[in-house]
Amino acid sequence: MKETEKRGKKLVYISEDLLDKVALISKQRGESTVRFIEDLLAQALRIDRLGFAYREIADLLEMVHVQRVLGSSFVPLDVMNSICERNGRDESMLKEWYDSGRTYGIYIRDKYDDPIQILETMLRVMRWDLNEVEARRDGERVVFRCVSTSLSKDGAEWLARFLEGAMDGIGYQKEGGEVMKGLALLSFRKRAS
Amino acid sequence: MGGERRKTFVAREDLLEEMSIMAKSKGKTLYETVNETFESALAFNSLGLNPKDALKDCGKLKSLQERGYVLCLENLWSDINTIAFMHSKEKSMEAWYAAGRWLAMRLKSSTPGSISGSGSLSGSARLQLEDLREELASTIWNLAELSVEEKGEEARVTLISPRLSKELSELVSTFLSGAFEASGYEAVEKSVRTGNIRHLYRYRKSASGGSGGL
Repeated sequence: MKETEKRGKKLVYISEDLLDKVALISKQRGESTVRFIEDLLAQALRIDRLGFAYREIADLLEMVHVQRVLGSSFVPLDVMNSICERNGRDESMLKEWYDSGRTYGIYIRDKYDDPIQILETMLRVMRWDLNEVEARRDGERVVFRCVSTSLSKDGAEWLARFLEGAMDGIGYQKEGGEVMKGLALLSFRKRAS
Repeated sequence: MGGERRKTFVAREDLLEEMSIMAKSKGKTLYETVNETFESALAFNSLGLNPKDALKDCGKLKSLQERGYVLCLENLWSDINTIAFMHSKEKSMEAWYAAGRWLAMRLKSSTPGSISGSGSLSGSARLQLEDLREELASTIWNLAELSVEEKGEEARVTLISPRLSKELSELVSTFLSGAFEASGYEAVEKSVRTGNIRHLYRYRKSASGGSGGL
């Protein structure tokens, strides 16, 4: 504490509205506003050092929550890839991925206002071997683009089936797409209710 | 943004300097970055999230990412392993054994002084069982019981998880065998039942498994 006090202090600008809201939270928690703000800044810096964007953290934590609720586990990617290499095209295996996606889709459709955005974040969290995940929206149409330099053709098929299942659960039907080594590009249209 | 009212607040200079560097690296101003941080904190608060817990969870996610794990629904994981197991028990066990071996070698090689000048693992490098226990505990969320106990030259591991299928129990058991055997242990006793794995190992002085695992 003494060491902190010895450190220099500086003034910085902030939006008045935001500062008032943060000050209110610190008061509700019984903490000094200055200390509370410094803690926030320190946490933001640590999160940045870990390679995450502070703005995405709430989504990321929501995903962890979804994974826990639905009963997920961290599994070795090498074993996953080995199974995929040996049994990737097995129809029963593909069906498992579709069904699993559907379970996620139904859950996030019922729980979140924007399930597409949640699914996009979820794919980032679940499949760390994906370099890019993007959901492009155009009215009733959504195009998912997943890119990975390490994704095999069969791995991309698994991912595509999972995505199809998830979008089906959310209420979209597949229109078309392209699945190849390193890329899954799928287009969906909202089902008429 | 132009009409937005601004206020000043006072904070530690070192923190603000670091924030300023972070802002520059992202092509933003300090004002924008600080505002974003505050907005996120408010979003956390409205969701009932604690930023400190968030930091812990992010650290864990990052660490698991770097250690080669991905998130998967347990049911799906169990089913795809069962299908693969039915197709080829031998190949499935081979993959899990190799994953266990890889884990042990990774943990052993992360111990200071474990790598000799020639780049191979030193003979005295020994798997820290607490590291193994922590790794298992952090990756399997629904463990009812996990213990890795060391007594002299013996190591006893107990893993109980009612959600593990018969096939997955056998595969996880093989994974543990891979980890222990690559670390110079030999199995004295192995018991595998659905959701219930118990192994007893004894440490061999001349540990093999130093090559090919990395």
